[in-house]
Amino acid sequence: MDVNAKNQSAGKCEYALEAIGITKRYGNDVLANDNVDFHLRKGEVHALLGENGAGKSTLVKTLYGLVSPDSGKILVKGREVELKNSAVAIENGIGMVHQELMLIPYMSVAENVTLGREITKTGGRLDIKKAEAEIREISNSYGFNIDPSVPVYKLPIGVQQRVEIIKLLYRHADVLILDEPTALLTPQESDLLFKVIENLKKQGNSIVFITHKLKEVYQIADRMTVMRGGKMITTTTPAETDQAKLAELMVGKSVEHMEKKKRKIGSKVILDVKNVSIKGKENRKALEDVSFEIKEGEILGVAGIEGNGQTQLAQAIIGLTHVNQGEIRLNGEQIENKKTRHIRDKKVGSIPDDRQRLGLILPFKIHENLALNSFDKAPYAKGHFWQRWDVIKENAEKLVKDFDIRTTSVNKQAGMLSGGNQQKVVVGRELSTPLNLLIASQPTRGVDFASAGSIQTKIVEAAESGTAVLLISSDLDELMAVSDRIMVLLRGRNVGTVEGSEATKEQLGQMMLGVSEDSGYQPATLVK
Amino acid sequence: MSVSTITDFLCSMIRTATPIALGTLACTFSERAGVINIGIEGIMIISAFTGAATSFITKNPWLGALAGMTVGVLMSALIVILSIYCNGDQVVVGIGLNLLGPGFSYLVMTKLWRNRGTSPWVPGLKGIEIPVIKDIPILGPILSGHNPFIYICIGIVVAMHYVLYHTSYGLRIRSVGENPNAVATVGLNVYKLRSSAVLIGGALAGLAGVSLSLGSVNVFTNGMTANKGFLAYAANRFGQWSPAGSYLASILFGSMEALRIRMQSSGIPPQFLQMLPYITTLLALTITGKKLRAPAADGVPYPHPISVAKPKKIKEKKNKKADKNAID
Repeated sequence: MDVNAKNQSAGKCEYALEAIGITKRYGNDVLANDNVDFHLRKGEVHALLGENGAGKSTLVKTLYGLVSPDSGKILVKGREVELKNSAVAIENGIGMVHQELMLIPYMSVAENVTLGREITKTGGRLDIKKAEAEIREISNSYGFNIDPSVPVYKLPIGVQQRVEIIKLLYRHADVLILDEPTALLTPQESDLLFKVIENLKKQGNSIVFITHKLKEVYQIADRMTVMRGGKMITTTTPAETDQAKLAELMVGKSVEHMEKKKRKIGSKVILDVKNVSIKGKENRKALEDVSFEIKEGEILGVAGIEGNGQTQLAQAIIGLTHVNQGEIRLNGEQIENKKTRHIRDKKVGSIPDDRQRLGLILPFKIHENLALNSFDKAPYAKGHFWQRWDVIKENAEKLVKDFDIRTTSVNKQAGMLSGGNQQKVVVGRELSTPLNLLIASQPTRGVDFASAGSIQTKIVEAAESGTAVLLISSDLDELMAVSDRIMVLLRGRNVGTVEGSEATKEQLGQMMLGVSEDSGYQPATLVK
Repeated sequence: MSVSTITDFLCSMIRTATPIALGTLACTFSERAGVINIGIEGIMIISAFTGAATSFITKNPWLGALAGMTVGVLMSALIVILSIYCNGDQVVVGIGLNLLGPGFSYLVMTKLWRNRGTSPWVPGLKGIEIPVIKDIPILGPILSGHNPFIYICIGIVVAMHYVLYHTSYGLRIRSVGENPNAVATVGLNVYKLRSSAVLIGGALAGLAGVSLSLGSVNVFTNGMTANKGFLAYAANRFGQWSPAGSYLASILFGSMEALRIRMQSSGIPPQFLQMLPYITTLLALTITGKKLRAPAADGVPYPHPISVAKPKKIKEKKNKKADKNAID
């Protein structure tokens, strides 16, 4: 702190933003941040790493004025400030891109960007023309190439993210906090984002980059800070720390990477999907003529940019979406357009992509959620009338142990669990009975890598016991690590299947975007 | 049908539509900010009463109008406190207003006038003759000589359109109805924005009530709103949450009401005629139902209760450690 005081008196400070001794307690006893120090140098890309629940979010929310710390102070360019709310943070040049994009889909880019700092003519009339010109200028100077008059919902997610960045630049932010910006992007879009970040850095901005994907850190970060259990563990540079060491710092123990073992794939076809088409919105087809089969013990990965038919595919198999053409057979029996209950009774499990809406009933207790798939059958039910809560609870206790769901009691509401643990509840429930087929949609999205690893292991174990698995994921690393084959969906069509052991990210990424290697690839995400 | 029959019908259509339109505009403004106000009916009746009573006592109908609007603002302040700041269910609070409005009016009415059905005659607002226009044949009687609420209402439609689509306040109101989180992250106050919209809506609903009692009949009758507040709620949806659309939808419903009055002597059982506006409403909503796109956060409380769910402290004292997992 003495050093900082000196810097302050000298009028020059090498740090753009500092947090010193931040402590934040939620409720009576949950210590989210315990005396955390964080220093962001001017013009650097600083990665902030940690598992879910490590306190990253609390720290950056503090830096953005959304959370007020119990103690500690924040310095902006060596000057102490009190960030009462995000308006004050914005005034101090701090901006944040949230993981969930904070955009209004039906409004134009210009309206979204200027919201809160509108440009008006005399008399208070909005001057949209001038706003658009100003945004175009920012956009061009960073090479974003965005048309400010387009409604946001028409833009791909990667471009929407750039709109968020423009929102910050428009407010003259020079400290940009990016909260897991690559979570929703394809590899190509991620690369574009990294270029954007490089560009931002060159023009003198300082960037905090939150992630739990270790590889990305080595691609762009100048320095990195690791957090665990609410404490700051260390600040280091990529050159000093290798990936294994970094993973160890994050988890607090050495992490074993899941070894890809050769599994035995049976010869019996479990799921046979033939020429399936599903109607989508506005006369477009959500799925068009998709065919594939999955054998006993096989894991078929499905890659694709979100919204290219993955959700509909999963829902069609489990009976939640009407199939307009084609047939789906499970062990030879036709199951398309059958009731979900009927399909589930054929030992089909489903991990839906939207766990909070489709996978769980958040206000229900954990043990209730763990019994949702079979509460009406023995041993959970007696006759048609009686629920056997003792058995349900006993079983829940067992599942909590098996699947490492971190909670003190099965009597807690599922909504109280962190994202990763909620997901473990869904996975635990679906895998609690032997299955013929498991449909897993985005099983590890938003889950820290230790939990993700254990979820992947459970899915592989299920496959080893003979379950056919359809694994839909936007995480290509996961697909390549786990799948036997990877199918790529583009605009509802099956554009090709590659062997899991031979697939490369570049190849998959190009298939996902629908470009071939030698076509002089222009990123499809740059919309004029 | 003679020309005068048609002009008569048009006049009566606009006259009956105006209270509905004002109520609809109240709905529109508050729903654009993401707050559903189904208490319009209750606000209208209590404002109609307050307006009449004030006019009766002071002999000044303009004071009555002002008093009615003030009561509308006070009633909607209940929504602000209970629904916006205390996160109470918007529908339940609205139902509360619908019970409070008529109950209060009835109570004070029996004390004030010792009559349970209607008030004595009260001074109402006189029709406004527009100088040059009133002398134009045919158009003159349609455009001129109406009670002031009709002109005020049209003025409000224009003003609301301008405010919503051409001012920064309007942009913020529309944004807070679409995604309050986005509004909060750019440093704006969601609570204040939503409250302001609800209070302005309350004033408009108050005006709607006053236009019933002081606009043309100049008495207050128990139950005189006759579900116009609910029609307003439907008209807002039918009009796609836009001021102009809301006004046109109200005119449609108003024309059904006017048709009913016109056909009273036709021999059709009055019960069937009374159903006309409501059947139109149902039909209108059925036809447009699929195309509707409500503001994305319409009726969604802020902050959303699931995302801020807090552990029950009394029951779960033992489960302290587990909360650690719920931080991120």
